[in-house]
Amino acid sequence: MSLTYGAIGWNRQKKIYDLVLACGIVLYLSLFIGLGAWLNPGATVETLLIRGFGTCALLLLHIVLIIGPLCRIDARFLPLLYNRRHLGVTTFIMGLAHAGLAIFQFHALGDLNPFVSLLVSNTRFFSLPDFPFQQLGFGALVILFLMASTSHDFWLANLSAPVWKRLHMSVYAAYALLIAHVTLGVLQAETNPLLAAALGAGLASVISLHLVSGSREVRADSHSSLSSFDGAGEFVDVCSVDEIAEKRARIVTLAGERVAVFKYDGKISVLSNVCQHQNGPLGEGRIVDGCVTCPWHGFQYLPDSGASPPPFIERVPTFRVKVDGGRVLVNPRPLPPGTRVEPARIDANASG
Amino acid sequence: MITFAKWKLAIFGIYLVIGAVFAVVFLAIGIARVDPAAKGSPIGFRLLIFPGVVALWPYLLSRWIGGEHAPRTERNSHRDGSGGADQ
Amino acid sequence: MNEYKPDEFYIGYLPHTPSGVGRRLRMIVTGLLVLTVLTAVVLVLGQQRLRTGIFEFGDVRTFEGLMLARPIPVLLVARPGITGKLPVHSRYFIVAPGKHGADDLVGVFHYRQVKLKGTLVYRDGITMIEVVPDSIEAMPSNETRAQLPSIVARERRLHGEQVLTGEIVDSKCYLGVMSPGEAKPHRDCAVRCISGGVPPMFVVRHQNGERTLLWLMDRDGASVGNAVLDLVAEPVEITGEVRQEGDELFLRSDPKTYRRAPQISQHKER
Repeated sequence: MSLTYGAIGWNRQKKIYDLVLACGIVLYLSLFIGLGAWLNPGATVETLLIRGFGTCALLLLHIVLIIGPLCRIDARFLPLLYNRRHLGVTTFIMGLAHAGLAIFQFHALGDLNPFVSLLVSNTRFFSLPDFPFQQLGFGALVILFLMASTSHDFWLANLSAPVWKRLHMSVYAAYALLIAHVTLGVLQAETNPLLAAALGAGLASVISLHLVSGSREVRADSHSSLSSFDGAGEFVDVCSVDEIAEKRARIVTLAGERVAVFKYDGKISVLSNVCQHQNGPLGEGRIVDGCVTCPWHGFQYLPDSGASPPPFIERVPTFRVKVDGGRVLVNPRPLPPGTRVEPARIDANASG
Repeated sequence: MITFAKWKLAIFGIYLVIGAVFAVVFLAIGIARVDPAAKGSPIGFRLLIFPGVVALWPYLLSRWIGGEHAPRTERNSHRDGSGGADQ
Repeated sequence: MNEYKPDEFYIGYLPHTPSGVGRRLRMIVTGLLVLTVLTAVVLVLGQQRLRTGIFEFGDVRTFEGLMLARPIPVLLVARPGITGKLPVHSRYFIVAPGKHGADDLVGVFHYRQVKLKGTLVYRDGITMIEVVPDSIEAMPSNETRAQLPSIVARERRLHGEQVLTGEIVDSKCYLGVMSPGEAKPHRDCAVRCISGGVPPMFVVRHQNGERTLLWLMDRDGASVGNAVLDLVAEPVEITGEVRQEGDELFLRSDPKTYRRAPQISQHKER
């Protein structure tokens, strides 16, 4: 976004976010460890800490995973998305504390290097109840590390948003590994149905929210997908002017990707829907201070050129547009990112 | 089994040691060559991306050697369809 | 998005959240904090209550007695006064710090009167000492040594050949150094401990909740040690001869005949 990188770009909202996050973690750990020590005086401090950090990481990962679909379903959850990276990094730190303590507790001070011990102590790979579940957790931790260590915008820019997003999609692999880690690990010894039910509820909520938001996306795309071309030229009729709210956009699929058709100040401009920052949906944003503003992190683009106002350097492709008889017509050939296109005037074309 | 595990860990360890050495050099000199936005960036930023450089050093090394002087722009069907170039 | 004013739009880097968004956000955050509390309570309540083994961590005491380094290192300390039906000696099994057995430390003191420093570990009537390395010193012999063979013979009971199902654990963690020191999550640690020389133990769970602990020996009376590594923390069935010395039970069987059992069945009678 800016011309040079900083360490952590804290602002007021992020500080509040992180404060609430820290309070939540302190609340969880003190309840889990305090209540655990009181109800279960036989447990050692190490056991309480290992379990506390592990379950905390898993709870955080569930929250990380449901924020995405919740925001797709209801835009009111978007403030949770804004600083989700800090949530993700915190999840990794909790997991690291769990793993570090567990490796020390179960593998250190023995006759082998603790990491060698991790790999060789249990080799019953072909037995489900006896499966070496610790290696599954270690695999998940490696993925969470890669995500946490590449969470800075430097990585987003240098790996490019699609590669970065693909890397960060591996969170689902980490989640699957962790579900297996817990199911084949502690749940083999802790057989209270309450625990299995809690894990099941978490898994069910993650899966169902993804299915609901995914099916909505598919439905929305099939409604907005345009295949019929305007007979007169290469312009495509995408929607009526009246279907778009002022300073908002309508999203339609054109040239293999979604475009955002914005209406503002009696004009129409069309941009590629994909924000250059994290590929957020620009068409779900709005015009703020004359700029198209991404709903995810507030990156801004001038509606006529698709270029971020100086000193920022992000640019998205633009599209030629005209208004005819109250219909918005868009040329499906994308113009190079940052190309200025004269906005179509609504009033001038309303009559004819 | 134990020997195999020791080999795996040794290779992993060597990868990380090379990564750490590379990261020190890269964060001191290389970073500004592959991403102009990192020129004059604070030490806090460089420390923050250190673990990632250790983990992904082969990628950054190839960028550095390949003489790419700016981050690659992403590709999608709109950017490809527009000819890809920035205006 | 119906209750959400269309002109309200959250931008993270602006100092203030639009009022409608802020109100919703406070409800969402409150909901998440309630979820946090609920999760913590449910997960704590769902866990098994752990039996209490004790490890007197940080409390180093001095002990004196007759050291038997083989088959399992144990210190015999004469009980004071008239013992009646109780065995003449208290038995303190000896292990080293960390995940290590004490064979190397006590080998040279076999069958000698010694004084040593260590930390107590105990559970269900079995007591163990985590010895401070280099704290063992030989003492002048007393009459215990001469009387021992007859005492041991008098206190020995043979319970015959039995088929038992249970779990192999490492004695040090199970008796109290770790809680829980058994079952799947602890498996790797038990493997490491037994591999490091901590004597393995067999835990037989009874239907009434009680447990019987037996030291695992081979047919010749030597500790089975590393031979059981692959079977730790799993349901295992062992057919062997049970013998008692003092308060301790020993299960003598060839480790090659140990079998994986479908599940840990609970024994109706001891």
